[in-house]
Amino acid sequence: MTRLLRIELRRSVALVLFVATAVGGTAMMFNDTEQWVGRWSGLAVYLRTALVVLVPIVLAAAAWQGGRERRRRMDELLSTVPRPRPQLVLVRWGVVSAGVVAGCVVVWLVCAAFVAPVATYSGGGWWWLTLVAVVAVAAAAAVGLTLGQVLPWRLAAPVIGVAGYAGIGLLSFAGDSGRMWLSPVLPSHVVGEILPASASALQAAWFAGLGVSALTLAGARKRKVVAAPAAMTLAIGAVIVVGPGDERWTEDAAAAEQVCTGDVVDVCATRQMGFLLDDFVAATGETVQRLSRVPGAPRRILVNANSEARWSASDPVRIGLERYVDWRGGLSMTDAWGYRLRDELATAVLPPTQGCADWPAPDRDLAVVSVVAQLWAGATGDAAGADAEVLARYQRFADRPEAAQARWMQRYYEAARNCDAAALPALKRDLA
Amino acid sequence: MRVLWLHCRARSAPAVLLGMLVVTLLAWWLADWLVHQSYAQGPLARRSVVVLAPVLAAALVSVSLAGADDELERSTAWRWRRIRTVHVTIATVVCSAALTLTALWEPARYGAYELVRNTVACVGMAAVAACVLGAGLAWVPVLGYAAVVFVVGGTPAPDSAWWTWPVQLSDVPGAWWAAGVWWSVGTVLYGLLGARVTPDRGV
Repeated sequence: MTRLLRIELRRSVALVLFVATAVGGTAMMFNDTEQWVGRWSGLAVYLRTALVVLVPIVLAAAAWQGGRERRRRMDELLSTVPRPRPQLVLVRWGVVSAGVVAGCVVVWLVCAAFVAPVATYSGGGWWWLTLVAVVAVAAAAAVGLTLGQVLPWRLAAPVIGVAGYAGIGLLSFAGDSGRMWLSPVLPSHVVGEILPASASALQAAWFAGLGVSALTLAGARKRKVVAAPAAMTLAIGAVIVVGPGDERWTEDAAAAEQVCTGDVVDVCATRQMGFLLDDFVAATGETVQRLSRVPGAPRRILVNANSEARWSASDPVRIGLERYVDWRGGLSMTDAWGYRLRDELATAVLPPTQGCADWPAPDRDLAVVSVVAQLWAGATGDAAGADAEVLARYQRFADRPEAAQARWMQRYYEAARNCDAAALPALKRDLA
Repeated sequence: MRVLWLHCRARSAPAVLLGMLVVTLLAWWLADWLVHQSYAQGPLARRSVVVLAPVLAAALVSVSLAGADDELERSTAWRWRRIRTVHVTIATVVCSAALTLTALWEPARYGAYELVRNTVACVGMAAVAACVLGAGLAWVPVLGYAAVVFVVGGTPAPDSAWWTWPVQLSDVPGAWWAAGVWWSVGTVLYGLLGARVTPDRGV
């Protein structure tokens, strides 16, 4: 048996598949590090996202493997050997599965090396999501092998691979319904949500059923033997399809717990994003210090992953940091599109005035008040829309004593919160 | 005429044409479905079709790049270099024309133009792969390369067009040049050398 395994390992696509999975999977993961770095659950979810490419690759490679005997015209010869057919099928599947699972393990280990040093939250049931990924790729290997063996086409492998890709895409992205859970990909995950273990168990049972049915079809002498596992798998599939779609995700209360600095302006992060708190405080300390001296300015800033993450309703100032996470789990000052964190913070800590009907933003003469407030809150001149004249005016304002700046900003906050446009001329006069 | 028919039959041309019809219909349906999704960004939603359909077309063409017994074929007194070159050219034209019909609406934004460009490039790449790996495995680099670029390429900058051509829009000249180079190299190589003879026989 060991000899057989060794020969299969050398002669099958297992080693190629191992390299393809390890390299392709790692490339995919590092193409979008901000989605997972620093978060165990993010890593598990994004590994499942990577399956949108890895599973079709496994399907195609396994189908190629499944058609090997026919291509070499050895199928009749092999059918005469005394070794039981199920054993041959299991060995072939075992070797191909071992190759792809080992590739996935390499991907996970490489990524885990970037998560482990910085992660501040290890809950979220991420191991269930990872386990289902392993079951899914092993099932894909079984389905691919069987289809490659059953379909006598020269192009069975690429057709099965592309069909697998299209099938996963249709199941995963065709709207909110139970069908999405038939796919190994998790398309609708929002940071701060958790998938109950029962949902993962159901998915694992579905993929395991697919794999067992496929292997039975490939290995059994009589095809009707496949009826029992196929019926069981269809039943599990039916339970998944009639079940909820997005609603299977529930809030991860532990991940949403807040870790705070406890200063006058309390900067808090969810436990999941807590690994960025120190970097954030260091990067925005000047603005936070200034806010602490202004009566009426926000006293609490919450950082989370992104605008889609679950926020607490009582958080007045919310900053989504996912775009600013660099590939090592640190905080970058600019995102991939060139937007600056300090500009985003400045916008977030000032009262929104878009809803104020009389707030004279187009009135350049009075708009200088808002621009100076943004510059004071840390925005860069470009983002605030300040020309040289306004910058000079702001510089004179910044040279004033801190208490005087704080008093002016207090009046600005009051005016902006109340949409009191009548206060703007006085604020502008005081800038002179 | 009889020789032409024999050549087409030896290269599974009827099956390839039937496959191409299926791919064309699937591409048309998938493009239509994608464009009508609520989250779709108009014609740009057809990005995956523009990448996948030419890959399948090239995979189909790769079937016809070798006969049942290439060594025996080459021992005959025919101008095989010329036949192979014409074969790849006609296959490219037929596949491009078929796929073009599926995306005449907004042809310049992940539509007919990109389908033609990618089909030309993918067939060229398959021809190169057939010379190196054999016709049986010629689809592997095409599928692998397209999958990697599709996933990693994102919204690529025009200056990376030499390698991100499968996902570039039609107004990027670099992508057309890359496609032209792939096709030229593939056609010349395949014309000169033919598909590598491998132990794999039949289906």
